[in-house]
Amino acid sequence: MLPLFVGLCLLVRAPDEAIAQKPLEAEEYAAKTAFIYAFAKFVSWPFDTVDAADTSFVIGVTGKPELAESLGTLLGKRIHARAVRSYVRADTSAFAPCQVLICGIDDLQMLYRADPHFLHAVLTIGNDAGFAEAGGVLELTFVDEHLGFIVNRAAARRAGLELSASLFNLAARVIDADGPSRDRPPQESAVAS
Amino acid sequence: MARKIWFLLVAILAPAASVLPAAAQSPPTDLTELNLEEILSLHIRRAGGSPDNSRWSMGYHFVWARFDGNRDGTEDVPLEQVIFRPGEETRTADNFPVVPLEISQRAHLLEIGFAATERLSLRLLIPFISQETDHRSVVPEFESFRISSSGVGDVILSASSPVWNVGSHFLLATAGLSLPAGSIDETGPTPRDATKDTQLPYTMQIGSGTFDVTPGFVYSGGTEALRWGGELRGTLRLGDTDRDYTLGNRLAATVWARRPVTNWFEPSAALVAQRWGRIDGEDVSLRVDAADAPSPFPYPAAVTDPAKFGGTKVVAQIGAVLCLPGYSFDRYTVDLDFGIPAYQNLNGPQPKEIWRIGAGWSWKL
Repeated sequence: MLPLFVGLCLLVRAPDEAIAQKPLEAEEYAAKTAFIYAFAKFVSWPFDTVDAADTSFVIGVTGKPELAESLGTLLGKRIHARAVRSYVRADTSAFAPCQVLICGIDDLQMLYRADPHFLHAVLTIGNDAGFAEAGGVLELTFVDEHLGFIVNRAAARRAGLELSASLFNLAARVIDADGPSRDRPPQESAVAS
Repeated sequence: MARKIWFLLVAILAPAASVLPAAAQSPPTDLTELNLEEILSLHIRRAGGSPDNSRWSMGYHFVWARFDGNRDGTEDVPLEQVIFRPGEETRTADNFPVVPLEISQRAHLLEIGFAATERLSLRLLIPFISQETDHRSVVPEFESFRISSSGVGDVILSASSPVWNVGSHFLLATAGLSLPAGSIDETGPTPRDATKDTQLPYTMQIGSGTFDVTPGFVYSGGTEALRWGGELRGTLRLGDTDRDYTLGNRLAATVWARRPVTNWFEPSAALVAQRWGRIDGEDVSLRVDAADAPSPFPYPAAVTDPAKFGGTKVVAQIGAVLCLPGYSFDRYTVDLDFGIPAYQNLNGPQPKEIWRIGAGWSWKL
């Protein structure tokens, strides 16, 4: 470079700096799995209402094989002193009791229509935009390139779940939609599921 | 020689350091070790996205530096002290019949970045440089004249890799290679020969003329309220130019701080310290004496004297980084800065920098 343009590169906000400031990166499904695991620690379940004899913590997934595969990394870990296990169903026709159900708005509404009691003591989690407004407890979303989440406090109460107050401080949005919006048409997914 | 060896060691060790088993920017293999806040701060590679596209980044930067007057050591030197007027004063090594007074240098830099892996980022920097210098001289018909040059400068290829990370503190090692794409054969009208264009001084050439190695380290850290960082970078010239000279090596250190004020505006301040050496060898075409009749004062202007280069400079800069609506700071930013030298100790007399401004944008595709 030129004799007078000493340190020309330094005058520029070099990408090196951007690289240095770049936050830690993670794959989407691995991050969502870790998020669900961490989130569950802040939720209190009425375990005795599910099956007191069963000491496992069950995560059910409908129709999301990539996420289900990632959830496999939780097997052997414990949530509220219960060993995690998971199952995958292509749809909700063979719904089995679980503490966490990851599903879409259609499945959520179908379960409510079939029997609202199915979702008692179940932390429902979805990726679909509008999932929380449709009656889901936790909607995963993105804030720029970061994970974010929306909580439906009323849906959590209805499910008999107690959410730690600290979760509300971290949430991108907290809503109090009372009851599932059975007539609400499913919204177009805004995020990769 | 010792300085060259030192630089060479740094050049070799910097990339080597990147493979040390130090903590990297990658999160733990098991993300379940992270708490909720840490997970929410992760930069997510979306499953539906295109991994290849997200690895690319582009940037454009404009830098304009203005020089006015001359300085020797830490003292300003007035024109009448630098210019040599035959018959009125004695010629010395510190006065010249031609004196550059005002220099304007502008650089347009195009940057292309590519994250080859999580631990290795590559960067291509292509500069386009244009510059003018206004002179005063005692040569008839050249009492006041301007020379200019422009063209593509030296192209820089560099690689960066994280070598250390604890919490919000990051340290990167970088190593670059500057390719001598810029011309060192720029010519123009000078008092040396009124009948034709002649070789322009070192300051008006577009490139270094040599392959240069640019090793460095970049640090950044901070909190939500304040971010800070620093950079140490060297430039080692390898070999000689075709014109038998080599620009001096450089060492530059930067410290900076940025304060997030809003989610789109972060004012910044920086100190940029630079130390660079004299020119080794010389372009004999810049001399005015003949090979068989050497003169004790062969240089028509200080900018043609290899000994009148190098020095130490500290520039204080203020600026701001702005994030455009709808984007995050690590995705699309515009930055502006303005700097003035707080300290200049030059092997002069040498053109004195007055100010510099910079502006640009960076876009992660």
